[in-house]
Amino acid sequence: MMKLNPDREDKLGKLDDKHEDDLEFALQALNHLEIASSEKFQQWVDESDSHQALYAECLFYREAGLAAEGAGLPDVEQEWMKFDPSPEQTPTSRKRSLPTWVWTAAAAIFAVALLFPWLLHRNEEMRLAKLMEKHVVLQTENGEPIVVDQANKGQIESLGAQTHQSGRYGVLNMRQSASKVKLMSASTSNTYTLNIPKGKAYQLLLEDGTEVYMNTGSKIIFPNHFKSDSRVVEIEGEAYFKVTKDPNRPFIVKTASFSTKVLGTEFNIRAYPQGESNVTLVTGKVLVTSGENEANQVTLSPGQNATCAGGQLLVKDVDVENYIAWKDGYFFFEEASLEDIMNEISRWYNVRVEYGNENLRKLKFKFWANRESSFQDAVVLLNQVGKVDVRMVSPGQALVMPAK
Amino acid sequence: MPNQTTYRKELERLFKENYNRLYFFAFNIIHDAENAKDIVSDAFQEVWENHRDKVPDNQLIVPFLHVCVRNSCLDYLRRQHVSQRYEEYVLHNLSEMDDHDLSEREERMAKVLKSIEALPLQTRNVFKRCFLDGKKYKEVSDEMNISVNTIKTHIIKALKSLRGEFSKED
Repeated sequence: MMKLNPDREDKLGKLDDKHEDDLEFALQALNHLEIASSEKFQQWVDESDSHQALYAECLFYREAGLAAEGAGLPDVEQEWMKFDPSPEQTPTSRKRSLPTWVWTAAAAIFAVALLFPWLLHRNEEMRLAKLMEKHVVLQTENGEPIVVDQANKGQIESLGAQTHQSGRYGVLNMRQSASKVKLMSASTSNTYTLNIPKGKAYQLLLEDGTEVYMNTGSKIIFPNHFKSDSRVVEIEGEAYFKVTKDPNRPFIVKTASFSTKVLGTEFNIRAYPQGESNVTLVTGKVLVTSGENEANQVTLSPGQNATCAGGQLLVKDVDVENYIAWKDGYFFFEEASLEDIMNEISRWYNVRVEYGNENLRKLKFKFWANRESSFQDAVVLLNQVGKVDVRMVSPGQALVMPAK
Repeated sequence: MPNQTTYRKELERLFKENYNRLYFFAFNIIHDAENAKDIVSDAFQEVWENHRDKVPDNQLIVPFLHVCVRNSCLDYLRRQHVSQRYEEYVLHNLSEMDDHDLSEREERMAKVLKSIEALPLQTRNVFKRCFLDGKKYKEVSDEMNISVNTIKTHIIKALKSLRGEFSKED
């Protein structure tokens, strides 16, 4: 628990006059969070390992001292009584009197009555959020959200769209047959939002024939009809685009931090709310802009990647395969930090990850796995490297520990 | 649920075996006894909510409890508007969870406990005030009516015997 070994005294200074001041300082930080967390104390701790060791030693002696005094320790029996989850034995339930109960119920009923309209609305929101956790959901500007992967043909056709399966991908096809286009062309332009839940990937075929492969936990906002002078979509998360050539109508992908403009080409965009944002070009040419009034601009050639960090765009040559392997169903990391790898894996399998030790995040790995296998399989592969020991605490919770 | 009683027993065992260690883990970070207790109970609450019918084995759940406690401590520090630097210090120096040398730690704790019991009365008094009550040398000096220099001597003496360094003269 604490980095301290009594037999490794070499770090600790000898107890002479010179160290009396250090000792006094360390003791002051004990029991005083405001001192322990002060700039001055932190500087002192950073100054030398012996300072850190001395403070750790004092913490240990305090613990022993509290145990020796007896009175300084929490009463575990009593804490357990307070905690004990079995309802018939909790002291609070025994004490609870009828009037309190009646009063609480009355207050609750009153509160519910007041909140009723709001609760209905809230209920609706929660229902939608629940749906979007598990399913690919299409939201229209006004109307019922449509669960795309539990295809209700009629609903989807009413939008002038279709769904089908293509290889590993389910596809939402927004291209309409020529006759339908005529019929629908008079209808107004609508904006849709397609949400891909964690653990799924999906393909979207836009009106102009552009293919969009949507990675897990992502969303795209797009119109049913593009304008005559440009084709604009917005994404959050990760997507691979195969844009249909149209010199008269540039294709623009917006994300929170930058936008990418193309005529016809293939590229990958990654813009999850957490982590770096990237544009990686596979073929063709793209123009990436960021910042206010598009202050920063770079043009990418195939095999180049632009990273957006603090509004600045950085371009480097990359192995494209690292960035687009997901599209073909793989996790592929040439040399990545454990944190990046776990972020990606946990997003796909919808698992929360905790680290037993912060330094583990920075460990570098070469890692390759099939996305269609289970999380357990990926973990076995990671553990085989021998640097970490990833354990499942519960189905949705993993813990990373140093390898034994 | 049929195994509810066994489950409760399991949880109780887990709670009682690990409570103190987790408590000090939190206490050493936040230096606040009441909040440290709450944080530890909340961590067990998390186990209780996520594992309704079976308590996972110790190897798995103890490190998990540690991480829960550590995260709650960091949340607590943020609410107290404690500096980022201290948070980093906690992450890098106080959040290590070596389950390997746990027995070694206990052994050492037992030794130190004995040494404390064996301290001369006056030395133990000074030790208690400085280590447990968080008093300054000057305050202790006023309370006990002895000089700051004498206090320093007592502290050094206490530390030497807790470290197991017995000089021949003593």
